[in-house]
Amino acid sequence: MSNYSGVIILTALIASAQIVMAQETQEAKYTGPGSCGSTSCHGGVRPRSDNAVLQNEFTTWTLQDKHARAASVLSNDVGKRMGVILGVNPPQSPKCLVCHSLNVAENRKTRSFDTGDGVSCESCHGPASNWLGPHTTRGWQYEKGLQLGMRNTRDLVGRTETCLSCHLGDETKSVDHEMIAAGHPDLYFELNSFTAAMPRHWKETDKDPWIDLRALATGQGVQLRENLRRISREAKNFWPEYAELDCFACHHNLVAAKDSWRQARGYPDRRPGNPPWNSSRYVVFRVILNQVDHDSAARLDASLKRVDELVSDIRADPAQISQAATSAAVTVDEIARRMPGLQLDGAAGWRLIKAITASSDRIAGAGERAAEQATMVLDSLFIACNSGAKVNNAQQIGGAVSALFKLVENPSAYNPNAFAQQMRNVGALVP
Amino acid sequence: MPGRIRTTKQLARRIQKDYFKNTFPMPRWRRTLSWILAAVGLGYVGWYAVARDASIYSSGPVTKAHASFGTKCSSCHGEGTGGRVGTVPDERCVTCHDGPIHNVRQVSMPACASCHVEHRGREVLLPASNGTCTDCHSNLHVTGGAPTVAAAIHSFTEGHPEVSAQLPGAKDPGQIKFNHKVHLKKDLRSMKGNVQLQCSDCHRPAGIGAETVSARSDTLAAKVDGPRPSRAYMAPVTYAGQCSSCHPLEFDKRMPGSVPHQNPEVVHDFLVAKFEAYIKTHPEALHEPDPQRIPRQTLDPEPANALEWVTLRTAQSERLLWTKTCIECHKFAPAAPTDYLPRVVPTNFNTRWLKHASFDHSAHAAFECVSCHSGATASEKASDILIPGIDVCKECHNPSGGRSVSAGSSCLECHQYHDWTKEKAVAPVQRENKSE
Repeated sequence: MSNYSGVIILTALIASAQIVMAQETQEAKYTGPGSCGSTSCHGGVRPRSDNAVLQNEFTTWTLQDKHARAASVLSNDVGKRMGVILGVNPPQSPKCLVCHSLNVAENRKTRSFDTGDGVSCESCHGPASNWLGPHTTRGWQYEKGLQLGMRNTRDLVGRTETCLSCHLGDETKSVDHEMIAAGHPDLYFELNSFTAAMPRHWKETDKDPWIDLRALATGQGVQLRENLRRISREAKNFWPEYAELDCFACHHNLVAAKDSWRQARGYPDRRPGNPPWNSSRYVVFRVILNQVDHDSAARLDASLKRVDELVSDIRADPAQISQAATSAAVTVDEIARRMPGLQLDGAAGWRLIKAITASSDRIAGAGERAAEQATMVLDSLFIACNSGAKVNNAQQIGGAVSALFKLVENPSAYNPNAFAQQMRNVGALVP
Repeated sequence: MPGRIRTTKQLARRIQKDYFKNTFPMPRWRRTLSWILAAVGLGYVGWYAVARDASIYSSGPVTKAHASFGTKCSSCHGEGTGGRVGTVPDERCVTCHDGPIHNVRQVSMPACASCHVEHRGREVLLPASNGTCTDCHSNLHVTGGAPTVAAAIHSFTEGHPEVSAQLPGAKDPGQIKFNHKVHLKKDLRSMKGNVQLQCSDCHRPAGIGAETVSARSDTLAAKVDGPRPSRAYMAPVTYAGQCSSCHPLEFDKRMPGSVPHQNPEVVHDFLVAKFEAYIKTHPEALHEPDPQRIPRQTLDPEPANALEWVTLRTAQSERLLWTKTCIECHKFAPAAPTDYLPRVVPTNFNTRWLKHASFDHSAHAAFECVSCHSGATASEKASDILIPGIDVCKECHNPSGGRSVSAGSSCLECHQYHDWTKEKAVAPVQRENKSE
């Protein structure tokens, strides 16, 4: 009997080893952007109209997209200085490469892969080895690629998650207060603005002329959810994590007490001296949600109230913070997943602008990062509405929105009163 | 003794006493005919001599190459040839054409005529047997040490070494990136949609005068093809001929067309000239600012004038070309600190793999390319050597009966004796004298 069991165990071991080996050989590999850039594939210089895709994606990326230079900045003067401060060698440190390139195991790179290519095709579209060949064949369908490991960037939730994995952080990627102190910029994001700034290298397959409105709402919802998940992680590991707080509650120009707008405003809902939560990913979204789904907005406010209070209390129990954030993230997840399915049109878009500008005091009062978020959202909403159906005073509105950008140019000198006033100016102009 | 009728005398009478004085018919005819034949022979020779025609001495027709000599035996034989009619000394041959030495290290120099036997018919002036080669090569001795080739070759199937391209350590000297597998895959993406490439889309036979090796080393092919362009070898793949239709060297979205497929210096000058011309006719292109979409976003500064615009656009196009377009196929040498343009590593295409043998693709045209170049469809690197090994040849070229009983396996099927790279020019000495 023992002889038999030995044989069985051995056979099972060999079989399982074979399965593991088979899986490893099929594990998708990263081939590097060079595999995509042939002129007849994605490396043309002009967009082509005779194909489902523009075919100049690589060229847009390599010439205009800062993602292509993400790895090279690790070696510039700021990168070198950050390396000295943090005690790492940025061009080779996984801490940096996770976002500034594709930090994958050696056995998952093909010979054409080069870390120096920065954030390239496969950073967002997934490892290509399993679908690179098939995806050029006749009759290819996007869904087949998804089965072979291509990441779904058409799905607005998935697309935002892809961006946010670096632009907000996930389990393996983070920009904390230590890194910011060393020289890394604080992370902020708004899906439509960042897409346009890339610039966008694709045409939407969804033919809804108002898809950008749904994208914006989705981006807002997903980034709030990811913010809550990040708070939950940080509260378990290291708290207080100052990067979650309003930077400019502390990092601001000191003025004579009589000139301080902070002291004039007072410190509602928190102990004076406590830096508040950076609620920029919440305060604009709650207004949007209130417009498109009033009931959900009430639930959102209810679940976020506790998080706001706890994070804004420097002495709060991290375990409670983590729990509150986790629970709020569940609510927000459910809400965010409904955003891509919203029915929004130009009229709804203008109503959103009106509503956001009507909430000027609360948004402007939530800090510079919230003002920044409102600036990007208003700009994106205006562009989306105006490109769908042009308005007569577009130039005037555009000028008023540009003035918002000026007001957040120097964050330490941010003044909520001036910003709130300019928001109202924008609101007064929209139809 | 009654009845006895023959006496001795009678018997003696039967013998003609002067028989030795008579001429008998057989000897008489023999003598007569000898004289007649000699006379006829002399008459015949005399007749031809009078007619100044020496063809009656020929042991057989001469080859086409020597047909112009006609019946003038003295062109090769006769005066100044040592008086021996049966031989032709080498000096006579090299008056008209050089026969370069086989190898500088050879220990003996066979006479031309020991291989090139004339008067065997119109077509043949080459030895039919391997013997002339294996006399030396079956037990090869050379001057100055050991031979660099196999020393005991008895036949194609006995002792003949592997082709050099398939020997261990053989390397493709080419410095280009190319993936056969991708190019031959089903539904390859091209500028005109999906295509299925064939070997012949890129590998086309060269013509005479094309970029092939010495025309003289293709005599075998020339013999097969006659006066038509030689299809023995494939012409080298060129960018303009094979690559350009799917890999155009586009450089800017504002302008159609490609940069010239030349070194980076030429490309740089081309780009500068193009953009200078463009900004003259499109001055509005100076002001195309990117809108600000992100607070504190650092936007690229706008060029202040046309010169800055040209510099910026040239730099952008070069970034695209150097980092994407060129390196799809080419390799760049490591940049020196003073380099402002990349240095392309010379492609160094190998145009001839069988250095000591000639091969004729047209004679093998009935076969699919992959029946010999079997590795082509799976090859992912340009450094893969796709020249078939000698075993592939032996499948048909086999004296003991391969797949094809008629495929020859003599040395001269592939090899040349003379090293034609050492051929010397010979001044013509023949003169056609019409008055003769």
